[in-house]
Amino acid sequence: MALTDWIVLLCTLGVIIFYGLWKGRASKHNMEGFLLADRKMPWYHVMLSVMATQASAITFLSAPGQAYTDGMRFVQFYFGLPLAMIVIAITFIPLFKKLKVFTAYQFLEQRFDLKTRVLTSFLFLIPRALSTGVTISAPSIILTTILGWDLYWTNIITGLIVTVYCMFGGSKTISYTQLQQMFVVLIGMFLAGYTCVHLLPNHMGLKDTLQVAGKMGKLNVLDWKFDLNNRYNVWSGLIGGFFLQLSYFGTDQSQVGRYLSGSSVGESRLGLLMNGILKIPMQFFILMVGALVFVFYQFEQPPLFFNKTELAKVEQTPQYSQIAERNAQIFQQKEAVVNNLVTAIKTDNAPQVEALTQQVQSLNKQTDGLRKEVKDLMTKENPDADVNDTNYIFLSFVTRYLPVGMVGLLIAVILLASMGSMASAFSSLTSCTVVDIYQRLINPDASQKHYYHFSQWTTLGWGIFCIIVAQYAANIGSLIEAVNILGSWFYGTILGVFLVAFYFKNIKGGAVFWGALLAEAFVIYAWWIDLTAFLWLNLIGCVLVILFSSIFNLLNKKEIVSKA
Amino acid sequence: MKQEIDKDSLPPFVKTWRQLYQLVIISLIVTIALLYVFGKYFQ
Repeated sequence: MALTDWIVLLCTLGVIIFYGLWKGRASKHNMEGFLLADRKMPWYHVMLSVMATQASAITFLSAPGQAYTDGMRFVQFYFGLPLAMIVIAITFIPLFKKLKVFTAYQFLEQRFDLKTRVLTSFLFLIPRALSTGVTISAPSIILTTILGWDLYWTNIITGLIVTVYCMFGGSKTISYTQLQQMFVVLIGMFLAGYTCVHLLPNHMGLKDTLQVAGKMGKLNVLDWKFDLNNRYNVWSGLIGGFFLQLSYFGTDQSQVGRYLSGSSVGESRLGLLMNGILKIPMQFFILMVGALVFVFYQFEQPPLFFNKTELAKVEQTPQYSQIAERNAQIFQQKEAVVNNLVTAIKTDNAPQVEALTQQVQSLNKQTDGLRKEVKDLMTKENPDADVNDTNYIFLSFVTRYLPVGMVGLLIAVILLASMGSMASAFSSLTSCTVVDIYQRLINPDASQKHYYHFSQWTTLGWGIFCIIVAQYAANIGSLIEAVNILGSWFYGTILGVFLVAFYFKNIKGGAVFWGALLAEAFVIYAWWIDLTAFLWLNLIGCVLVILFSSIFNLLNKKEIVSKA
Repeated sequence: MKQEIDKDSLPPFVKTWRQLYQLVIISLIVTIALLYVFGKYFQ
């Protein structure tokens, strides 16, 4: 990276963090100040905070890469989000606000009993702590591969920066930094898209670029066909996405903590509802940047594989040289055909557009075939090779083609996105540890000042723990999947407990506690015997909690009646 | 609780929260419609 990029990167990070700390200094030195920003944040803070929490670095690295390889159909994944926001605004927020809870699980004690609260809090803490470690390490791995930084120190420095500003500033600092982070992230992505179009040949405007992307099948934003095997279509987005987002925003403390910091029910509601309106356009825009990068690479020869560290391991082999030679020949042919296609589009020559589109698609298929050959070669040379380069596509484009200064800004975008979600995770881990465990079970009568300082030290403790996990995650590639599996063990059960709390008013605490435990045991057993793909464990856990709780509640009632 | 919410704040642009929820649903429908037009136009 050039000196200018370093200056842009460090100034962007420095200004945002110091601004956040400066704004956060006015927070009261008590639990409400540290964990919920005194419950005084306006709606736009709530909105940008929940957006920053959900959009991690991988979102900004992976989404453009996904549009490049698979088109923009991923946007449908978010169709259920506005509906989930409405349900949370109607049901969850008024209750949480009325009870003045710090954590979502605190509500469960009032609705059920202490043991249910502690159980769900534990079920949240385990996967959240591990996944936060992965949140630190995943972008670090990509940044270090592309920029040649030291992975060990990248993890430590990014993790410690966030830990320190969370520790000293608390929730208010997190909220103010996330506000700035989202502005910089969106401006950075807009500039990346603009520059991408600007780098195209002179005769290509945005409209022409999108038309070429459309002809290549990259603007496949809607798929109306109902197909359970197709991960992204309108129906899976609306139905599956609704439950997923309901579970995430309603029961995950990293999101609940953000909207509980709203100054009133109205401000929290408005923040979530505006997120519901703006999230899909934002995701569409990020994906469109990937489609633009795809068109750029129709005029500029892309690497056969975007992770240059993995590629370097096979570059010297004779097989690779042959593949690269064939790739160069295909690209030469394609360049001429694409230029003709653009001319045909501009002159509105439909039959020629059709014929040339088929030619380009055929040549792209041949390139995809060569990419597969390279991946096979990598696996042959090293069975543990990481053959998925989707996350490297966008950053590889940024570092190779964007002008000096913008590279620094885009690296800042990735780091800021990572820091935003990390900060919310640290805050949620601290909230559950201090409120649900320390204050409730260990030391209930201490002063607010004591809890404030204990919260600070807890944040430091979680920060260090997550950095350690990040170092292991970097060494064991499959840990990312392991964390997802671990999450699917628990999140379904937690959602089930909350659904029972809200919609099954007659079910009592004992029934839901044992129902949740039994459901959890079944979920782990289902995973053990490989009953189904792990994503379905969420649904199984949720349904089983409702079922078992209802049965236990019924048995309990009968017992009471027979005794009477 | 209703009283508390009403006193708390009313949504901007519209008179009731119910209308704002309807606005969110309408915005979702409009967004999907715009995506449909976008996809059709450029494909």
